Amino acid sequence: MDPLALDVAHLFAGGLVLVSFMLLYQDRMTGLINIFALHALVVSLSVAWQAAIQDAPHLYITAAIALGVKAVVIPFALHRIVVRLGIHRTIEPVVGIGLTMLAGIGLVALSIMVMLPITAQAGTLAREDLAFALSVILLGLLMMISRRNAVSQVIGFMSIENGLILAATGAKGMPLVVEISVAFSILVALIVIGIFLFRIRERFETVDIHLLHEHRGEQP
Amino acid sequence: MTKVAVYGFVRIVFDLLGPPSWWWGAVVPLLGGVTAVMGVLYALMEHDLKRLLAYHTVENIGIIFIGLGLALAFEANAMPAAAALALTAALLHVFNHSVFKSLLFFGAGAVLGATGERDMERLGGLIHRMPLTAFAFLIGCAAISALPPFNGFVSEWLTFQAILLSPALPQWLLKFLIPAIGALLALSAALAAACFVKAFGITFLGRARTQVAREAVETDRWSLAAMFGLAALCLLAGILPGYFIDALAPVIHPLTGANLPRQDELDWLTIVPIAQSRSSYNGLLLFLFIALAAGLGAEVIHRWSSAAIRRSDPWDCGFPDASPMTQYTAGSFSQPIRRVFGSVVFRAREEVHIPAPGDVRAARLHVQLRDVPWDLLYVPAARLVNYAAERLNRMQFLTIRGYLTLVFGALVVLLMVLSIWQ
Amino acid sequence: MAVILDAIVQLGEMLVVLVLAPLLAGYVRTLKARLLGRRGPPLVQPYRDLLRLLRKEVVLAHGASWVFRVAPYLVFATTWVAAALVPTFATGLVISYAADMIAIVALLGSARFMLALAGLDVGTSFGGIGSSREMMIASLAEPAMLMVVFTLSLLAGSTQLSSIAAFMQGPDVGLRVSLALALVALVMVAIAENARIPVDNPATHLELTMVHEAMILEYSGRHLALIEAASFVKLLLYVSVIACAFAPWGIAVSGQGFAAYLLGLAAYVAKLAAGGFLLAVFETSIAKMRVFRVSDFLGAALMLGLLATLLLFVSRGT
Repeated sequence: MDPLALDVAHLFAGGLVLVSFMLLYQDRMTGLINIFALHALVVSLSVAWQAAIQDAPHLYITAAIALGVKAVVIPFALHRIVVRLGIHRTIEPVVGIGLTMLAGIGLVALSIMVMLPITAQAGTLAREDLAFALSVILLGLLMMISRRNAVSQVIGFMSIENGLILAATGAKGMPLVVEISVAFSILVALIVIGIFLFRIRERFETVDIHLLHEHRGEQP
Repeated sequence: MTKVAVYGFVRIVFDLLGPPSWWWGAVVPLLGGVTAVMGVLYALMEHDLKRLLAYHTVENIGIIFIGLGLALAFEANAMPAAAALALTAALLHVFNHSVFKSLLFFGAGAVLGATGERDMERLGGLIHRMPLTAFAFLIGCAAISALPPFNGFVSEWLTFQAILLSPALPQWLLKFLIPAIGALLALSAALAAACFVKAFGITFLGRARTQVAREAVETDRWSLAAMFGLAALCLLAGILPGYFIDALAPVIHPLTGANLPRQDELDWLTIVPIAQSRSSYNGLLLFLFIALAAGLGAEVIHRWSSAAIRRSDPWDCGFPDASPMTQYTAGSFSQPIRRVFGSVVFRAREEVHIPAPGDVRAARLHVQLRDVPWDLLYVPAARLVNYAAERLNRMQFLTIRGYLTLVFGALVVLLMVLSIWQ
Repeated sequence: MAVILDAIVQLGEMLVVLVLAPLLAGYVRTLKARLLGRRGPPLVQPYRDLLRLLRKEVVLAHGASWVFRVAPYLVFATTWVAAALVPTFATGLVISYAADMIAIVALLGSARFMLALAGLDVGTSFGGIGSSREMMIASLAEPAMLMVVFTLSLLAGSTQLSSIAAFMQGPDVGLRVSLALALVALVMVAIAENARIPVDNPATHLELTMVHEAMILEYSGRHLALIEAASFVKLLLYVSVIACAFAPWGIAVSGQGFAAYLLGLAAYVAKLAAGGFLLAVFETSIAKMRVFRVSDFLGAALMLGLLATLLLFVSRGT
């Protein structure tokens, strides 16, 4: 494959990892939502580039869905939720941003060490996209466990889905039907989560997971 | 004394144990890197001058073991030239460390002798009372912080060059681990510079904080001669490193089977550890250039500008003459670093008690550090040793028949072992 | 003969660095003022400031020692020598084989060491604030810079800046992820080391919010002129390193003739102008961070540098 095309694909995949790190670095709610919009934008550009070099036009639709739904609609909705819930302040990480990013580096190294030897038979493009995609998934999971705030956990969950899209488009042959169904399920999940967040906020006056833990009712 | 341990390690692992496995080259540098960073963080939290220097030795030993571990990794993968480079870096650092650490300890001893104080927070302004000691101590601080053109920089540069050879290693774990260890090495070097700015600045610079610091007297000529001799050696080993590297060659060759290129044939006394196209360093030229630039700057400035100097009170943002106790102390100097690194590594916590307005009692600052390796590793080991010693102490008080029984029992056991093994 | 020509080019490079540095600082300052809607000082104002400071007398505090008086000369000398080692309009400098990128980073560390000591020398609390914060920032910025150096050296197979520049102009390089990450990390380190917004404000007079200015609070006259000149040269050094390593087009290779050198000089001035413009736009569009957020910022730069080194093993299956 044309080395320039390969390099640009790598650039987008590496850019996605970089934006995942930027998500870990944020300490303000509005910044987090904006960087998530950037995350979705990079994934849609990456998918569009894959559509161009793999000559698979249905991937353009995937890119358009990612751009429209996840880079525009969902961040807009999240901004409104955040303002109405009144939680636009700083996010408290559990162990501090430096340590979280150090753990992130370890996860990227781990995913590279796991993925590259396993996929030795596949083409270079697929191999490295898979390694980067696994990194994005692990970083999304790290974000979910290292933040106290429910909205940031939702964003971590959606960044995992972006990683899965990267993996699927890199490995060639992702049917459009799969993409549409996955995107719809994410949208439905978001609506349900949003409703739950409102109810939680009404009941307990907070969405801080740590404080909510005391209300579980099973403890003495 | 710590060099005896390094010698034992080199002798046993490189000489007696036979060909190394590749994972030794992962464990040893990792331990070395972690030791280096932890050692310098310990040193930064100290305000006793001698304890600071002792903890800092921990960092230097960590750096030496990074070099030794890299040599093991390269040797396990049949890369003798790279192993020679890593081993040279480690051994050169052993030499450099003994020179500049001795110089710093002599200086600390001189300060202790002149003032009776080891606590930096009770010193200050000693550069005016002990100018020659201060000058030698400054050379030691600059050398240990790996600043060119002194010798600390040469061994650290060689270690970095060895780290940069790591992509040739086949194992993935080593390929990823060694750049990370390079990051740890760079971090420890930067923290060491911070540590010695604190050590020299709080002890010698500023204003005297107590009466003994105000009345300190310079040490005797013989101590000063020893310190200046070591300081001159620091500069010499930094400017002419090629000779020292060549002097190490007869040691490196039997241990690794390869040699660095001969350094004393190169132009202008440059050192080239691998190949000219890859990297080179010339301490003498750098030193001359810095001296020339400084001299040129001074000459031009004094030609064109006024040479007037007026002594006055410090500006201090317009505050009138404040007491020397408003200066930064050792604890306050390391506060940003304590907050950034120490809150994780030492669980450092600061508590401030400020009395209510109108109350004239002093405010209190309480800093609490927890030494995690001490609590987790050394305290249980010490307890185990104590327990075993208690038990074994019974053997001091046996009767003669008891001792004879022991001798008889040992003889019988040895004969049984002999019979079974045959 | 070739040696003499090389020596003349080297000398020329050192003089170019010294002459252009205040102009770059003045250009950034004026551009920031224009972006904020003010007219701003004239472009040559830093030269006038330096000359004015040289003519004034030095006011020394009573407790200042010889370290305080010698530090400005050493800071200026080490920064100037470090800047002279960076290829600006031509590579293959005479002294570039005396020191590579690691030595350049260490020379800047020497300058910082002397400056921090000078801050502690007079024995006021403001100098202490500047020194302790500067050493905290340096303890993270220097490793981040070294990781960027590692990435570039592992790619180019050498730690010499001339070789790195030659490699980046060659065909093997391609658009690699590691280079993008290394560029971001280098820009973050450059902002921190040159005391620019968002790390430190070079224009404020509130000492409690400053790092660099607090260390040099007691300096006056020709000493202050030398330290200001050193900080101008340091800014030029970082912009030159970024230009040389990531945008090396137009740099003349030694021995190519006078026309190539002129072209290299023109390309270099254009790169400085572009770099200064981007710096001014960045500084006016962002606010200063609080001090303990700087450690997160530089920690992120260190992580990016480490990530760039690790990702080198991924691309192209090396």
